[in-house]
Order: sequence, then structure tokens, then C-alpha cells
Amino acid sequence: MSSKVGMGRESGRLKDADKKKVLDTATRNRRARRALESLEMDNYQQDPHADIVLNKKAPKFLDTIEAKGGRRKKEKSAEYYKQKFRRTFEQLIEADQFNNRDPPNYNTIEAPSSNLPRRIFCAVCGFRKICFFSSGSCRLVSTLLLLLFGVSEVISGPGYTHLSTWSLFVNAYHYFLLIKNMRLDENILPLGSISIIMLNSTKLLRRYVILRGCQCTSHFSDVSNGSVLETNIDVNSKEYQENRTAMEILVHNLKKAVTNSISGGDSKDKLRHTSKGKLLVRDRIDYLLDSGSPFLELSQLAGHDLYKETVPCGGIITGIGRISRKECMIIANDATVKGGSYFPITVKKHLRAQEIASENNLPCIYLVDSGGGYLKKQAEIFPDKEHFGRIFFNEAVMSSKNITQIAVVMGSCTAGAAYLPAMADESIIVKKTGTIFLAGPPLVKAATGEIVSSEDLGGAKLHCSVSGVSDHYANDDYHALHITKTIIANLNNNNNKQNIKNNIEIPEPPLYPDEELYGIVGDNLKKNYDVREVISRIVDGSVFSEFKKNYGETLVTGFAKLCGYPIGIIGNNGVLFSESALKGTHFIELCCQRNIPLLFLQNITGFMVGKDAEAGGIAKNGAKMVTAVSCASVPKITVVIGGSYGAGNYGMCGRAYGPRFMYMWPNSRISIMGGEQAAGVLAQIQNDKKIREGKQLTKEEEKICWDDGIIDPVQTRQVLALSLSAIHNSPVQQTKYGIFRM
Amino acid sequence: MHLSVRNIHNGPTKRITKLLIANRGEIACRIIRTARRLQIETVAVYSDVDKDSMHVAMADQAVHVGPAQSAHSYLLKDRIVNAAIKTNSQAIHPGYGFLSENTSFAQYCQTNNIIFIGPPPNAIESMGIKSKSKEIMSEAGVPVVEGYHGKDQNSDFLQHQANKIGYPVMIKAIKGGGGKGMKIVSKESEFFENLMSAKRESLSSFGDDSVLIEKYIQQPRHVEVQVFADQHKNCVYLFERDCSVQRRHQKVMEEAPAPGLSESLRQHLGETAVRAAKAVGYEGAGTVEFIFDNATNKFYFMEMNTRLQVEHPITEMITGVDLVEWQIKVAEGEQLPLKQNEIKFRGHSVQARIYAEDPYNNFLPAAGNLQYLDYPTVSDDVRVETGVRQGDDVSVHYDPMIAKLVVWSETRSDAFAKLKNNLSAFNIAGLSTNVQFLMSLCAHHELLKGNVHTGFIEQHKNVLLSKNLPNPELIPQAVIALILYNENKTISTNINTNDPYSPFATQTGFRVNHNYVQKIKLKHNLCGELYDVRIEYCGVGSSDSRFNICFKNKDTEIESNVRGSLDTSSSNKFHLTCIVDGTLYKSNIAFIENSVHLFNKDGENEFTVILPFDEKTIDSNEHDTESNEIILAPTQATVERVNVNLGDNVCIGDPIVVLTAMKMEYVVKAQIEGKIEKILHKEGDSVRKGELLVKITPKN
Repeated sequence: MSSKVGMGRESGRLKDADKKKVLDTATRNRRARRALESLEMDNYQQDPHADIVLNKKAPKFLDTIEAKGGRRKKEKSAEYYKQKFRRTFEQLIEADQFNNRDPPNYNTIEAPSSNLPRRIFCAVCGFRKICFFSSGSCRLVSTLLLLLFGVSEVISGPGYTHLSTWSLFVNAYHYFLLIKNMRLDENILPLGSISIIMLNSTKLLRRYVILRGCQCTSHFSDVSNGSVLETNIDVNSKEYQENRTAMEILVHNLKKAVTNSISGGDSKDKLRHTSKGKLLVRDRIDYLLDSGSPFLELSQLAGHDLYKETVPCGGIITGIGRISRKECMIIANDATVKGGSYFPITVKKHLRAQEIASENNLPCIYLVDSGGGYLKKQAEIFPDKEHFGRIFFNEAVMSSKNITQIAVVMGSCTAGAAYLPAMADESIIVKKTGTIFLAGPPLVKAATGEIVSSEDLGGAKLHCSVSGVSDHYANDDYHALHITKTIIANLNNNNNKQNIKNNIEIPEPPLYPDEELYGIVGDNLKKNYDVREVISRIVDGSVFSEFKKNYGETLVTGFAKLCGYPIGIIGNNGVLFSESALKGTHFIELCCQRNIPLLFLQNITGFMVGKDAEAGGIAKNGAKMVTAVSCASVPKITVVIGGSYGAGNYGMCGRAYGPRFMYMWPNSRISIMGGEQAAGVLAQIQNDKKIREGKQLTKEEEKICWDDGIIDPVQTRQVLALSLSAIHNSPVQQTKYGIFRM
Repeated sequence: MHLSVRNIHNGPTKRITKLLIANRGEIACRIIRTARRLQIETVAVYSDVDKDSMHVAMADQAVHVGPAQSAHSYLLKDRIVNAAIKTNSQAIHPGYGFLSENTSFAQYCQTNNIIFIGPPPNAIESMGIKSKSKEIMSEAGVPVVEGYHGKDQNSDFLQHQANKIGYPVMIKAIKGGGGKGMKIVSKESEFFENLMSAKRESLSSFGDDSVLIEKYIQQPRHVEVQVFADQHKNCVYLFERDCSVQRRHQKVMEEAPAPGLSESLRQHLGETAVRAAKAVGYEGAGTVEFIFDNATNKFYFMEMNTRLQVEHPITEMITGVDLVEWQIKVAEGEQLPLKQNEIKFRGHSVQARIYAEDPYNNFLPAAGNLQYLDYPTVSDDVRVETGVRQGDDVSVHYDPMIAKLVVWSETRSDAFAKLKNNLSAFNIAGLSTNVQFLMSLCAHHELLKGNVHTGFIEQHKNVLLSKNLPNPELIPQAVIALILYNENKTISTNINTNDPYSPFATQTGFRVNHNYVQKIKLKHNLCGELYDVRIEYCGVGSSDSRFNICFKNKDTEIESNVRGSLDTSSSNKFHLTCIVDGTLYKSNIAFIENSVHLFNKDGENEFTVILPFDEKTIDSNEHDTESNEIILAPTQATVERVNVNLGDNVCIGDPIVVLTAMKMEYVVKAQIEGKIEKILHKEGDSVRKGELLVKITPKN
């Protein structure tokens, strides 16, 4: 049907400079390296990656152009067309028709033209050609390129050979725009000019082919890490529309609550804060982070409607961000919220952030500006194991594990809190605003009668030049944060992620728009949906390599890449049966063996109940899965994308099973049993019709900080990607299982 | 374009096979190019600071001639000639400036049997002394500016002289300067009164009431004729150039042919110039400069430059002649390749000189590193003559010219349009230049009408040097360029780490459940305007990013929706394409430290991000002094003289330090009354711009 053209022979014409160019790119790009190897091999014809496919129709088309008068030449041999194409192509290249700068060399990877976003370049680099054409005869060149690089197979619909060059080109262009996920901005194209990306990649072609509803033909060969998931949703259906509306409301409410929460204390408190020359906590974080870099904020809704006092964000902001190109955990008091004092939820959020830092080997930066414990609730923050004291315990233990602890004193730091900077590896204090003392001036006066100003008692000058409690003296907040950046830059622990380098692929966006998750999921937990529809909107290229597809079908397991990181996914497609549990156990074992992080997409009503199930050993088999989940020491991430009930929560790595990160969608619920079932059970026991609603948790979950945040489904991929990046800072751990009851 | 036939003429010729170029910068490069075309080996000379310069890199050989100061390197006759002897060069091309019009150098070459590419020493000498040259010219029938310079100061006699010259005349104090004691008399009846006034002023200012009288030309033009003579008494003219557009008495934009000249006048001018050249037995390339009176169409001999001129390319562009090639041929003893009637001109050519200077600060020369340099695409009609490359320094020791941009077109207006267009592609960052000024200059309607005269820039400086606020749509463009550049830098740095595609590097501006709002402060460097910018990231990563960019300046607040992409295909030349509220803009971008330079068709705009924290400010806080108590160097320069000693008392306006930079002297004066506390530099030191020179304890 088709024949291959050996473009590799052109390498003889490559100048050394060009080779170097390829080589330079190649060092950054394994795909390109592969292309270079093929190039050096000087034999594309035997190279499976060459992908240069000539459509049978193409030569005819060319003939039409050749025989201007409309007289069509006879069919010639494939070899004839090969030669002819190459000749024409070379001539056109030599005529420098492409670009007013350097003529492109189609063996090298061309930089994108000015109006192709760089990200596209990243996504498609390694493909042989990205060209920009402006006008005139370039249309012919681009058409030729289209044909030459095998794209013709996809674009040439019936009748193209009869159309003019121009209309063919325009059609090709429109098809190209169909590839929504390329995220090419059509408006960015100047009028009268056209951009074309050569789809010389299997993945892109596959994506294209799927969008066009065609079958991917066999000659597009490449190394594949799975097949593209197909989607069966109907965006025009009533159900989809209803779901979308419902989810949009949930997301809207979520964002409203978050917007409220992240604004911190009221304007009066903020004014008082800034009038002292202090920056607001979020401005501090923004300045501390590398400019424009992302911030994975945790538990934004902690403390939301929890106490009679409003405690936005629990009075503390925690999250992971990049400082001096290193991922760090930032724990920052918000002094505009009750003077930054510690409520029980504040303590809980602080400890959780430390836990995440500890598990993922992230340096901790404490931006301290707190009046200490909230005395009215001291019983809930002081005495217990997971209370205030644990903060300093964690600091000491993390420091012992070489997890850097940096404290920046940007406000008061009294009594117990004084240990925060005192126990840090390095500490910075801001002049005038920063103070550290075990007892403040009033207490000192009461205890000893000594009258002393707070600056003299525990100010920056004292601690940096006399007591040595603090190491760095800063003129203002910016200065202090600047010092922090330099400390991080000098940590000398760049090797954290060494073990993953060779396992990462170039990230590719999913094939399907993530907004469709709204319409797929909706808010009705009773309606089940195929978890693969979610997977295909999260993972790279929507490619999923499914494991044991036809066994225990209520659990979907398989491998994929997320933002280039390898990941094993376990998702629910209904109630767990014995088979599903066994399959899940098997899959977890695989991931542990291969050191692949696990992603649980939780939407589970529980394990199957009933006589048959019990007789089949559902308890025993479920226990196997719970054992495997518990003992698995590969990093685990859980996203609750629907219900999370009963033992299902255990098997699917609920909070108790130590997921490194746990997120929830706004539609999700967690409880021992489904709300209605619970109501039913309670009704039977207590015969009390009043408890009809049952207990369901989402906001509840968040405000008491049982998860790491409720997220907009559309942001799932990004949040997971950032989490995975953070996870890879920790070293690989060997898994050792307990007894599996057989 | 070029006639490169090496005719074998009658007479003894000495073929030059190796040529030493006793110059630097663009002219050295320009000579090397022609020499190379003529299969002549080239030898460059260089000083300490020039060892990596472009002219050294271009030449086949290069000889070190001394330290940076030209007086100890490029101007040392014996070193230059020794270099030629050492390298077996038969000839020396002096270029322009340096030793090009030095009689003793030409003689020294002769004695050492080296061909000096230029006129014979006596011709240089005759033309070098102004009064002598005017005498010779008068004798040869070349018009010179009439005047009376004699000792007889009798009023009636002076009146008589003035009547002879014809009005308007100028009465000038002999010792005068700066306009003092200078009077312009337009009518005979006003002469006496003005003479008395001039004498009074002169006496009070200079202690001498002697005056001279000269013909006054109201709006003089500077028109010069390119002449060429060989050793066989042939002499031709290659038409004229108009170099009237000047600042600080230095040419900045030249054109050929001169606008508004009739054919007969042009011929008359040319023939007069040839006569002038012949009067001194001239050989080689020379330029006869005339003052041209627009009002009367009369011209007067001013002086003759016995060398190749900076603006010679425009003559080459209209005549198709390579003047350096002719110079070499004439030096070899050949006859001129063309006769007068074979020399024709076609079209119009303009040259703009691109200088490292600050037009807004009285064209004060600038020095520094050319961190970014991109020039227009060179073609048959567009010539870029330069001696520097990106990354080179424009040194304080030499002329601060970066490049010459020469364009040719069929008509004058086309040529100026072409010049403007190509100037917009002349993108320089790292030091201040006059590109923007040249762009306004070559678009000025009076210039386009041909109404040029030597006071043109001074006359129109309000228009030419206005500091306009930047176009509001430039601010979002600058901001998005910064964002995209920053992202690109992060991604490309990250690609070499263990986690090459980390989302922490690529998901620019990501925030959980809300949009990231970044606040920055931006300054427009030219007019110093500050903008508070608020950037909302809508979407993650640049490929699908939309930004709401809102900027506030005084009481205006403008919000726009922006997206864009930055082409980073070449290492530091970026092309920005962005859409601001639905309108597409394209520009070239350079990033220097915290500044972004936007180059588009309207010229350059530089914006600096004002960082909330700057390490340097922390350090300088240590010596927090009143600004008047310290005296800082206004420019990069060499200390010429320190006028004060430690402990001296100074008054406001006292000269403290004299600096030299780019052949210019700067007197740094005291701003307050007080006592000299510290002197940080001695004579001969090089100082950077902004460096502390002297500290003064103020008198209470």
C-alpha cells in the first residue's frame, strides 16, 4: 500500500555545524538522540522510527501540479516518486522559501517559528519537522511536506487530488486545528500565514487518527507504552449536560470558599500588619518562590466554618513550591488571622505539612509570625502526642535525617514557638518586627520586675550579635526571604531525584479536554461512570496500558505516564469482588517490585456483601488487598473522585493507609457506609426516622484536615504532576509484606 | 557594483601584496574586506584592549602596538612602521583619524620605503594649515569665505571691509568664543553700532577689543566633494555629499548627492574641487569641504581632508566605485580606472552613524558592553559597516561609533524611508545609543524636504529629542515578554537536571483552585515613568496561557487580555508575537539583567523591573551619604587632572576633576561648599560610570 522513503541518506550532506546542532538538542532529548542515531546509521529504510510514509495518492497529486495543462501523467514506479519528491523538496529548500532566516534542514530539528508556542516545540521535538511558511510558493512546499511526511494518509480525503494546492493546504490546516490538545492558538497566527506541524510522530498521529475517527494503520510504528483510551461520552446528551451543570456548581462553590479563605484576615488586621512594614503572608510566599513558579498549596479550606471564630486557611499556609530550583515545604503563619495563633486545626495542618516534608524529603521553610498557642483551646493543642510539642519533635527528627529546617522570624515568636527558630538548622530574623523570647516583656516584668523593651529582650540585633539564637540579620521581609533563597541555593543536595532520570518520558497532554470531567462525573454518587474516562483525561497522551483487563472488571488497573512520570493506576468501576481484590493485590505487588508510584482513584461503595461473597472469602481477599496497600512502600497518592465507603476506603488507600498525598473532588463523600444505607441501618436499630440524612463528609473532611485539599477536577492532572514531582525527592524504599491469608 | 579590474597601465607600478592597516574598528574591517577581494594579505595592529576585536579577527596577521591609549599605540609612528617592516607589508593604509593626516608619518613611511596610502606629505601639510590652505585656494581661484582678519581696527576701515565682503557679516572677537563678542550685521547702517557693542563685550570678556569680520551665512550647509587623483596628474570628482546634519559639530547623517543642487552647480562644485586638489598636487582620495549658502547657492572652500572619509560609502553607493580599491591602485602607481566622463551617479544614498551616546544628555558618549547587537539584513542596497560584534566592548579610549548604516534607493525619499526601516532593525542593548534619535531624525519632515543646514538638530531638538511616554500597549508586551522569557529560562535550565520535565518548572503560575496574581513594578527607562503591574495567570504554562495584565500609572489604569509566544530559536535573539486585546504585535526582544528591550518598527523601548529587593542597595546602605557630598563619575572615563588636594576648601562650581572620555573633556564641579575629604583617583586612572571620585565634607 505504501512505501518508505529513505530520508536518512541525506545525512551525507549534513554539515558539521548541523550535526552539532542536532547533537546539542539530542543531549536534551532522548527522542532526538534516537533520531540522530538513525541518522548516523545512514539508513532510514531499516529504521522503524523513521515514519516516513508515502501515500499512494500523493504522487498523483504531484503529477497534477506538474502537468499544468491538466494532462495527467501515467502512474510511475514508487522509486520514481521517491526521487522526484526528494528533488523537488531539495530545490525548494535550497531556494530558501521557508523562512527569511536559516533555511531548514529537514534532518535537524527546527526551532519553532515565532508564532508557535514553545511548549508545542517541547511536545513535538524529536519529530522531524516543524516549519513555518508565510506565503506564496511555500504553500506548495508545505503541501509537499505534508505528503512527504506521511501525513497525507490522514489528511487526504476523497477528491483532494482534484483540488487546488491552496485548498488542499487550507484543509490540512483546518484538520490540524482539530487537534485541540495541541493547544495551538489559532488566533496567534497572523492573517495570511499558516503554521503546520508535521505529524511525524506515532503518538500525534494516533491522536489525530482517533480524532478523525479513522483507524491507525500499521505502518506508524514506534515504541509504545500502551494504547490510547477511547472515549464513549456524548457531550450532547442530557445526562452529560446535567452532570456538567451540577459539577460546575460544586466547583463554583469550592472556588468561592477558597477565594474567601485565601484572602486571610479582615482588612483592618491586614492594614495593621502592613503598617508595621511587614508583607502579607501570601506576598511573602510569592517572593520566596522562584518567580512565576507553581505553588502546590495544601488544605486551603482547613478551619472553614469549624470554630465560632473564623480561621481562614486554619491561620497557616502550607504548600510545596520551588525555591532556588529546589522543591521545598513552606509553612507560613498568617498573622492577620488571630495574630497567627495556633488553633487545634493550625497544629494539625502544621504537623501534616511536616509529615509530607518528612516523607518526601523536602526542606522545610518556616515563615514564623505567630503569637503562639490559642490559649482558650490549650487542652486541644498542648498535651497530646499529635499536638504543639510534636512540631519541635519533627523539626529535630527531620534535621537528623538531613531534611533542612530553616526558620525565618518575621514577627513574634514567643514561648514554645521560640523553639521553632532555635531548633532550625539556620534561622533568619527581621530587624524591628522579628522577636524571639521564651517570655515577653509583660511576663518578665511580672516574674522578675525587670522592665525591658521587646526589641532589647529578643530582637534581631540581640539574637544575631549577642545570643546567637539567630544566624542572619535582615533589614526587612524581602531581605530575609532573599537570604532564605541563598541558603537553599547552597544546600548541596541536588541529587535527590537521581534515581528517576532515566524513567521519565517527555510529557504529553491528554488527548481529551479535561473540562469534560465535569460532564462525566456530575454530583450523583449513585450513578456509576467508567473510571477510564477519568484516566484518559489525566494521563499523558491518554495512553493506558491496562493490566488484567478482563479479570475482576470492577477494579481497573494499569500503567501510564503522568507528566512523564511512570505511574500505576488503580481505579474503581463498581463494588469490589474477590477477583477485583486479588487483581488489585497483584497489581500493587507489581508496582512495588518495579518501584512505580501508585495512584488510587477512589470511587468505591465497598466490598461486596452477601452470602455468596462471604462464602467466596471476600473478607480474606479484601484483607489481602488491604495488606498489600498497607505494606506497599512505593509512594501512594489517593484521589477521591466519588464515594469512599467502608472497607473500600481501606483497600483504596484511605487516609489511614498513609498516602503521600490525598485529594478529593468536590462531589466526593467519605463515610463508613453510604448515607442512605446508614440511614436505613440506623432506622432499623433506633427506629428513628429523623436521622434520614446520614453523615457525609467532604467539606467536613477538608475543614478538619483529613485530606490535603479539595481540588477542581480540571486541575487534577496538574496537582498530581506536582505531587509526583515532590514524591520523587524521597529515596526508593523496599517493600516487605505481612502475611497474606491464603 | 564594484569595478575590480586590475588594469595594467603604462608606467611603473609596484604591486601591493601585503597591506598593513594602521587603524581599528569599522574602517579597518572595511579596508580588509576590499584588500581580501583584491587578493592582498592584510595585517592589523592592535592595542591591549583590542586584542579580541573584530578587525584583528578578520586580518590575516596582527601586530600588537601598545596599551589602550591611542597616543601610546595607534599613534606611534615608529611602532606602526616597524610592524609593517616586520610583517613585510609593502604599504600602510591609515584609514581615517589616527595617523591618516599626519605629515611626518607619511614622510616616515617614505623614508622606510613603505607606501603610504594617501597623498604626498607636502599635500597633507599644505592642507593641514588652515590659513595656508585658504591662501593656496584663493590663488587657484577657489572661492573662500571672505573676511578681514587683519590688525587694522579702525572703525571706518572695518566698515569699508564689511561693505567689500557684503552683508550680512559677522563681527567676532579675535579672542572670542561661546558667542561672546559676536554680532551679526545685516545692513550697512547697523554696522557701526554693532561694532562698538562687540568691542565692548570683547574687552570686558577677554581684555582685548580686536575683532575680525567674516561673511555671515545664515543657514550654512556642509557640502563636500569626493575627489580622486593619481600619480599621472589625472584628477576626477565623484560628486558631492551633504553632511549638514550635525550634532556637537560632528556629522551624524550624510547623504549623496546633496539635495537641491542643479546639474550645473553640481558640475561647478566638482570642477572647483578638482582645481583645489590639483593646486596642491594631490594624489589619492581626498575630500574638499565647502560651506554652502542655501540662500545664495554660493559655496566657499572650508578645508580639504586628505584621507578617506567616514561617509565615503554613500559615494560608493551612488557611483558603484570601491574607493579603497582605487586608493590601493593609485598607491600602486596605476592610473585612475575611470575618466571624469565615465563617472556617473545613480539614485540616492544615506548614511547614519550609530554611536554609543546619550542623545538625551547632550549626546554624551557612552561606553560599555554591547550585550545585544542585531543588525538589519545586508543586501546590495543596505550596507552595515561595523567593527564590533555582540559581546564586544565599546571602549572609552576610542571613537564611540558602533556602526554605519548605509542605504541606497532610486529616490531621496525612498532612501530615507529605507534608512528608517533598517534602523528599526538595528537593535542594540547594553549601552545607550542614538538609534532612536536617528529614527526620528530621518523621519523629520523638514529633513525630508531637503531643508538641511548645520544647525538642523539644534533647531529641531525639541521634536527630535522629546521623551514621550511609551504607547500603553507596549507595557503588556513587555510584561508578557518577561514572563515568557522567565519561563523559557526555567524550562531550559531544568531540562539538564535529574527531573528534566518537572511540572514545577513548566506549570508556570499554577495555584490550587485560584488564579495566581503577580505584582511587579516596571519602569520605562527613557522617561522614567513607573507602572504598577498586576498580572493574573489564567491557565497554566505558556502554551495555553492567557494573562490579564493590568497596569496603573498615576491615575490611569488599563487592563488588557494578553497572550503570546516567544521564539527562542536563536540563543539570545528573541521574537515576540503577542495578542493584546485581539491585536497582534510583533517585536524583537533583548533581555539584559532585569531589563527588557522591545524593538519594533517604531524603535526601541526599554523597561526595567524594579525588584523589591536588590542586593546592591543593601551594601550601599552602609555609606549612606548626602548625594552632594560625593562626586561620582558621570561617565566611564579616564582621569585627566585632579584640580584639588586633600583638605582644600572648595566652593560651588569649582572644578574638581577633569575627565576625558571619547576624546571629550568633562569637568566635574563641586555642588556644595566644603572641604575635600577624600580623593579616590589620581591622574590616568580609568573610572567606571557612577564611581566615587571625591568626597567633600560640607561647610556648616
